[in-house]
Amino acid sequence: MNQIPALIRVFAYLSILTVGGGMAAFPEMEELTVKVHHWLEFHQLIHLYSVGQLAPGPNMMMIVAIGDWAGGILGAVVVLIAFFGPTALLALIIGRLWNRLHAQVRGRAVAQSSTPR
Amino acid sequence: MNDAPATIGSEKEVVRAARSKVTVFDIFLQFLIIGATSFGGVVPYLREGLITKNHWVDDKEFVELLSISQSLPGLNATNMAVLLGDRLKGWLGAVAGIVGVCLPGAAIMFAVGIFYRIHGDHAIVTALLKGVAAAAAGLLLATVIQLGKKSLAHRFDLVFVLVTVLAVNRLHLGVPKTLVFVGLAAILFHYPRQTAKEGATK
Repeated sequence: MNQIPALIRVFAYLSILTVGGGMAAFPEMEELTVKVHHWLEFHQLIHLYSVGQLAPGPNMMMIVAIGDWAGGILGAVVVLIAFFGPTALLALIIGRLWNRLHAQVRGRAVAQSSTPR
Repeated sequence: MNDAPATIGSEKEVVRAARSKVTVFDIFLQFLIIGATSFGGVVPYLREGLITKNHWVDDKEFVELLSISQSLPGLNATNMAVLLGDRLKGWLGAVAGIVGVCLPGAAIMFAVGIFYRIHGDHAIVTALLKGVAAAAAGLLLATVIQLGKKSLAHRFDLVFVLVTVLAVNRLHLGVPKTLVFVGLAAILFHYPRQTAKEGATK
């Protein structure tokens, strides 16, 4: 059965839950990957998560293994994009808004301070 | 040029000079190195690689971007890669940063996944993984203590922690619902009560 659409849905949703760190998404990840979709068993999820903590880089890279188990190499790539895409886009947008806001505030401050009264 | 505040001025100059020379490939390579070497938390490695080694940002800007990435959903490491990459070289820089920081860990976990699927039921591997799981639980506990020290401002906050754990682990309420309910309660609890106090004094 083709698991790719389900992988995209699940990991894009988990992506949004990772406020304050990847482990915030762990309970929902257990629910969806183990109980709902049966991509792996609970002890396997624990093992992968544990090994993932010891690997370098961002600490949720174990999702690649889940993607590979459920949908092969394509599954692994799709999971990466679904999990990091939405938050990366959000960070890009917010970062730029922040820059613009900063420039505006600074500009206004300069304008105010240099206006003769 | 005015060089009155000598140290601050020169630091900014250094950052500006370093930044004008950055290429997208430089960003990719630096984040790739960080992604391959950052065991147990990416932030110290980011600071070392971006401020100390390359002078692409100064300390103030780094802290500013870090607090943005901590308030957004998403991992700190990838949010920082996007924010810093974008500042340095636009959206191409952001892509170079996030791909670089993810690539080594993703490749390692891809290989681990294949190995584990084939050899996962061997006695030696199972024993090894039990040890690793214990170590990971220790790492998580350390993070929890660190976070708790920073964000548990009031003794009553422990009640929110307890309710969250019970709702997710015992009542199986689901994380989104729990977050909305407990979050709302916590916001109401911490809402400034000046108006109430003013009312009481009258």
